[in-house]
Amino acid sequence: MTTSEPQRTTRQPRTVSDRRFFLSCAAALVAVGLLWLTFTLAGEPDTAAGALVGGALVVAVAVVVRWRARRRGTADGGFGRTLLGAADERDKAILTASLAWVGLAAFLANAVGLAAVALGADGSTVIGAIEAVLLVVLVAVLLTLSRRL
Amino acid sequence: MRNEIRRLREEAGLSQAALAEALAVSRQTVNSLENGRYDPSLPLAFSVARYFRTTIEEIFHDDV
Repeated sequence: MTTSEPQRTTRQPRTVSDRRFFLSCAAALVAVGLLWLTFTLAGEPDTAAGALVGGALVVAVAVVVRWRARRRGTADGGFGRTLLGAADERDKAILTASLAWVGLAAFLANAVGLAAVALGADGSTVIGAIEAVLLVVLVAVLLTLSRRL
Repeated sequence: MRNEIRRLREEAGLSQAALAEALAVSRQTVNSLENGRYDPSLPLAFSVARYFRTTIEEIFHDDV
């Protein structure tokens, strides 16, 4: 049925190079800066500050995950591997399924949001709440599928 | 889908991490494959079969 010695020719895992990672971070920071500038010029300093802090936080998390993965030789979880561009097919399947759930949740959340606005709720608050709900759904489904799949 | 990956791996004296590295997937993926929670893509199934110098049919079995 099988031979005793497995074949040792292997594929190398695909990872994002330092150059690509640095360029991605730089592009993200430029985008965050432009967002901050746009909100500042529009007279929305609080929103500008929020966008700046939130964006910088995401980039910082990416840098920390990559640094930890470098130190340990591999990323701990599927999220880290996906962030580093080293996701394997199971990680991609989990991410795809999670995003599908987020898409479904977005339909429902938007319907509820529309109804809320029609009943007099503040539009920007509703949009923010929908964002938060979708983020929670994404994290919850990612965690659930990571355990089940 | 049932499979023989755990048996083949143990017969070869490999850890899940070593097999994962050889197949360019994560250790969690090997664990999920062994426990039948995740069905691999055709390319990965071929890689597993090639690695153990056998055929897909010898490794993966239909549950039915």
